[in-house]
Amino acid sequence: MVCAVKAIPYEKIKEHFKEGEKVSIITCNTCTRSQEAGGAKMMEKMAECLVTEVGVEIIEEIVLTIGCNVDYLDHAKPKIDFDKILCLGCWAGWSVIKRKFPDKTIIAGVRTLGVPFGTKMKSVVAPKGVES
Amino acid sequence: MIVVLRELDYEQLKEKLDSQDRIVIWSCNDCTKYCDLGGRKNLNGLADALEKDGFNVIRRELVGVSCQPNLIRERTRHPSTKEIFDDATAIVVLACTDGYLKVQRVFRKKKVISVGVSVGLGTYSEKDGMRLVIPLEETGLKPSVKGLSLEEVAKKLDLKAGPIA
Repeated sequence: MVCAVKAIPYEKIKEHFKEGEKVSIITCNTCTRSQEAGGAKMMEKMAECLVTEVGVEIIEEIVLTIGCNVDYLDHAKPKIDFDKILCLGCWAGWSVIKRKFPDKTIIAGVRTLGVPFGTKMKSVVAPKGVES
Repeated sequence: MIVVLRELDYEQLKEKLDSQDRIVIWSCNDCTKYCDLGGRKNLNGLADALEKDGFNVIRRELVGVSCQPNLIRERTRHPSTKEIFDDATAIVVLACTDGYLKVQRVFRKKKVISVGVSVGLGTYSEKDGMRLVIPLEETGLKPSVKGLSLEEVAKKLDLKAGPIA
């Protein structure tokens, strides 16, 4: 279940957004939450900062039980009138959103470090479009 | 989710077991289930097959997630499971590599047999099943939003996909 992830610092995330942009935030409530890179609290904090410091308009905030399940995202019926989505899930979760909205900008707010192998970890390959 | 394929086929697994073994079949009910290797259906499928072939399966253990050591250790302490795990000589693990290594760490003195192997991160839908989108670097595969089916990945990596029995 648990892939290893690390939150991208807010200062880096906010560089991707401009005042007045319509933004949705989608977060995973499993791996990223357990490693304090996602989850409802992190999402609310991020939304608050982006609204007050950057001036974006948050049009939707979605918490998915697991972000890498395509059916869960479909079931949430995400709004489509956004300029950008901020994904607070791992790169698999990011891929789910990107597959649904291939022509839109999906910002990865979480870096995926790898897959645990006991006390070690093996690295994964970053998809095009995320900060590795 | 972790994408889990397998290295063993059923005949290879049987070679690792002894007719005198008291066997626990252990399955993760999360990622490995979505990869159609674990979960209750495949746990029972393997246990039934081994019993039919004369092996002594003493327990079918389904675990919420096999990568959480506390859930594994609980089996060594809880009154409903302690005795049977003490008695077991072999544990066949239907889980990702991490899930297997954690079971092995708890049951150091027993024969713990790995079936699954982790190859990266995937996405799941009922329509398309599990697809590998973020491979491990060591696989040499490229990430893609669309991903690869388990059968495609198995073919590229010389592994096997799906139920072992």
